[in-house]
Amino acid sequence: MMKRWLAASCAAMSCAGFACTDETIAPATEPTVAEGIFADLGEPLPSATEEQLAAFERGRAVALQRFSSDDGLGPTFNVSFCGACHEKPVLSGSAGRYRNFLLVRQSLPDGTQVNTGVNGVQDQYAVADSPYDPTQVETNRIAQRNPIPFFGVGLLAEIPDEVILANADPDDADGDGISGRANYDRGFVGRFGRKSQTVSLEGFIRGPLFNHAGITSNPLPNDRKNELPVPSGTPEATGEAAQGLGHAQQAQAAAPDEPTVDDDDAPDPELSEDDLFDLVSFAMLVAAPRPDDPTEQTQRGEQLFRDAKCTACHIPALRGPRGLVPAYSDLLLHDMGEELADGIIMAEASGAEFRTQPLWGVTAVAPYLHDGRADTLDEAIRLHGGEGEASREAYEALSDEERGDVLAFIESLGGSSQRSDGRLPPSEPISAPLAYGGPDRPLSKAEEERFVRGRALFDRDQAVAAGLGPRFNGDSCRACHFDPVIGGAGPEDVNVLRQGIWQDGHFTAPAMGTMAHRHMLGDGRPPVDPQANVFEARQTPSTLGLGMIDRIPEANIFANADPDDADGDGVRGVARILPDGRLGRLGWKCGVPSLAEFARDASFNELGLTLPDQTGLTFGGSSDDDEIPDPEMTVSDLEDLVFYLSHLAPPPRSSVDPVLESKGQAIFVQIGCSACHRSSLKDSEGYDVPLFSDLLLHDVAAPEAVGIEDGTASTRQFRTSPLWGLATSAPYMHDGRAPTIEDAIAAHFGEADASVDRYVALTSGERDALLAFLSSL
Amino acid sequence: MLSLVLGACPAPPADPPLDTTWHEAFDATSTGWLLSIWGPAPDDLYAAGGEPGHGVLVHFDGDAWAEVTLPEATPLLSWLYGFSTDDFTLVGDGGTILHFDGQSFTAQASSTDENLWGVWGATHDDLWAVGGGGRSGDTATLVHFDGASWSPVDLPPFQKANVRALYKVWGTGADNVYAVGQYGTVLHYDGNAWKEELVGANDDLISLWGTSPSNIYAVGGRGNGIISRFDGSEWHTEGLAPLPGLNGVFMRAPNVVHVVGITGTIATIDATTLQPIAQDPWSTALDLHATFAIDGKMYAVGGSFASLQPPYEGLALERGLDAEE
Repeated sequence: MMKRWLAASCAAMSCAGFACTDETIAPATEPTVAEGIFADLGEPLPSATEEQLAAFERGRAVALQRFSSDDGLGPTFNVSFCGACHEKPVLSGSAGRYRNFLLVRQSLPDGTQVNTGVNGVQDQYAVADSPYDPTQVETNRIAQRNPIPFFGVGLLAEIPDEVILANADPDDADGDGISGRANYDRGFVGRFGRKSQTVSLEGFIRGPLFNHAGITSNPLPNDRKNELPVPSGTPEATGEAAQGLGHAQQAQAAAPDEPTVDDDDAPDPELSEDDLFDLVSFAMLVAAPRPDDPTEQTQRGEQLFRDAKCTACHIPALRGPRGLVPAYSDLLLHDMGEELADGIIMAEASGAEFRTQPLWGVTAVAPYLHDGRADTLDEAIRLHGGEGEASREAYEALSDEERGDVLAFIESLGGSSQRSDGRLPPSEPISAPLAYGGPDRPLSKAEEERFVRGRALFDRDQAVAAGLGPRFNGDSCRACHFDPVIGGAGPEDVNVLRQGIWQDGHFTAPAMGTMAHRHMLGDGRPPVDPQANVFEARQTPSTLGLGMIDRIPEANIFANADPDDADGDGVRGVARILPDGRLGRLGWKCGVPSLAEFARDASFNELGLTLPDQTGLTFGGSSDDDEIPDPEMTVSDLEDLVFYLSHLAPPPRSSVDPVLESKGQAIFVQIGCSACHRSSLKDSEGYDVPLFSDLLLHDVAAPEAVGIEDGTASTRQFRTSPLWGLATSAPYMHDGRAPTIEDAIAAHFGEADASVDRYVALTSGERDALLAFLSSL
Repeated sequence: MLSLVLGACPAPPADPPLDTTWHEAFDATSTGWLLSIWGPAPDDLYAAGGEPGHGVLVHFDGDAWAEVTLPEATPLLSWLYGFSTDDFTLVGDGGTILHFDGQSFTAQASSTDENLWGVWGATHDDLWAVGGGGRSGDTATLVHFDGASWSPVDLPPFQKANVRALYKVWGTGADNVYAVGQYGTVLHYDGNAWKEELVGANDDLISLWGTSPSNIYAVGGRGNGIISRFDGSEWHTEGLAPLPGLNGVFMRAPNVVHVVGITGTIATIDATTLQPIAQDPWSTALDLHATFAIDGKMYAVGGSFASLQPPYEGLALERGLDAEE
């Protein structure tokens, strides 16, 4: 059997000097679209066997598994699970700009590049005393990447190299202005990644797992490669395994260059062979997006798409072993011009070359282009340059109606019924009152409509054209608040980073403020203050039940304050009075006085949306440095958002063993936890709000801790975190350092020392009861 | 007169036709990885390698290959180079350096704990060894042997960031030595100092060889093969894709570059055009790591070293070598 790379050579070099007598590719004879390949986005191939379906489900679970530092997360990371970047509209898709990541390089005078960061990826977070992973000083080129969907990638893996090479025209021999050349990876034609830089799905999983999460894995051994849905072992060993499916030889699963060890304390490999097998199987089995039935409009659009020669690169289909695979891509590299160039070299791909992005399912995975710079498909087309310039001009020359036809055609290539402006499926009903994500009481019809409007605002990915940025942490409220439902908490991979200057025992806030944003528009990483030497993470607190907290009278909070420890119990409790006299009650440092101010604060500081004036409200800013006219939010939007938040029910309790939980509650009180985590506070109507917090500041930091000061809240003071919904809001503590409730208890110091000591002294049975109680909240 | 005498003699028996097709030199399936091959004579060859924590050396005496007993606890061996049957040096993991004097192996203090990947010398008292780990926390390493002891050599400050490993060292004389390494790094020693040279290579350069100071070739690439040529005045680098990444290079004739690489890659490169002129891959999932020729025979060795996990398979190939190659 001829080696694949040799066959590729033959195709590329007209077999000069080589014997290319075997593995001749038979000429196509009336090929038809492959059967059994289409399904809804995120669903498995209809042709999958029961065994493969089982692997698919297991792999999907692995993709959603949250890694903690105990599991091997880090030493640096961008995400804590695979699904973080492939969530939109369903697992296997892409993600909003809040999951954009940075490629980092050192460019040298001889035109070469060196990977900086972690194999060329800049991680945002570190599992270390400082949670900020700094940019390596030699880095002089930074490029954005928006996560890439992997619909139908198993089908693309099966496509023979020769089929891809048949469309290559590296020297533009036909003079149409469109070249198209292959990238290569270990002798095979690359096809995955924004620059077709890899041929291996296993590598495309193991690499990002390491680079973005710090999770190590060993390459699959040959016998497991041969069991994959796209068999990938040696031809000799694969044997019967390849029957009925395309066979990619060792290409698809071989990934020897990915690191197998890292520098954290978790034993390597941190992902088991079985989990890796299931994960690769899952990716290989994700179906192709099912296209919509053609309509007169989409047929007109298809013809215009062809007339504009978009199909020169977005080739409607490639022929795989099952038949035609209509991905609308040639999987080749094209020079897209200086405007889109990112300057990143990947294997054979230059800084201006990108793979033709498959268009199946594209409508559901906005934003578009390699860095997500385009809010809409129309904008994406208008940003095509280089080899795509003529087609772009042809598109721009169309009438509005005709452009609409083209867009309708592209949108018909799968996924249109699942497209969402955020993560919520279209027409998602309101959850039942008091359920997770539901309202705190039955709503009237008008209130329901307002609740839905507010929820949509909370969930919606904000477009650049709508004012996102110029710096931001999330592109929606939901980007950080989605655990376990929209409005909830967030994993540590959406932590906000705060910065400060610590000198001679004193904290100074940088002139640019303490926020260290993760994202900015354009290529680059938001700079931190050059003098900043202390960074602290802020875990995303849940917004569920904030309305009830908002309705607690200030006096009921003041009533528990004991700033001078007058009662001598070692527990103080400081009410934070803001400069304007209001009581702070929200945020890790009690820095925000009300829900309405919280919405303004987060919209401006986390998303970069400028705000209109609202009587009595002062948080957030009214102008920024982007090109969108201010204010970027309307009063109406803000009011809908606040209405939604104010009526978002608190997390429902979930009792499993009432007797045990009752015993645990008694222990909770007995060991002193309730001194700060007060079971309830009265609202303005005298009802108990069972938040398990006093909404006061306490010094609970570790003795050696150096953190961020916020107004009158010292570096060591934190608000007592409400405990409702504790079981579904991991990780814990202000910086997410505690993966489990036990870890969180152990991470209390200072005013909590006595309680922790009493907790340590508990019997295992007593601890179990306490944990059962806490998990039931 | 002489020709007449010779002409009067009966014609000598014709040499058997040279078999230039690759075949297994021996079954190395259970030997461990084979990472290097060298020998002073066709009937005195060594192949070194092993597995993590355990070094292996096999010897060919002209008839058969047999494992050589190494000092206890010898770790994985990566490279060997020498001058004669009683003077060669092996390097390996954890700064291991072994010298063979014809009778026994002597462990030499290397002055480093880093893994050593390459060794070469102009003379027996002027050896260089290079190493590092290639990962964060590891350090690109260069050590020198002056005939008495090994000592660390300060590397020049690299223009390239993150160079944490040098993979091979080779030269044409005491005052013309090159080392190659991570991210296309090339260092040159002119007899006085080591200096970094930018050669236009993005990816790791893993090995080098040459036939004169103006005909030196470095190869590597990891995923896709690359080759860099120094013609005496400047470096010129070419990508070789779709030829896969290369690990080993050897030259005998000045116009032919023999290379081996991942997944059984074996090719010869035109020394002038830097384009492949013949490709004869071995059908295997194993990677080849080194190639070496002596007299009329060429060897290529490798194994499953890319997987870093059992089974630790080796691979040893040989073929006849034309005089022009």
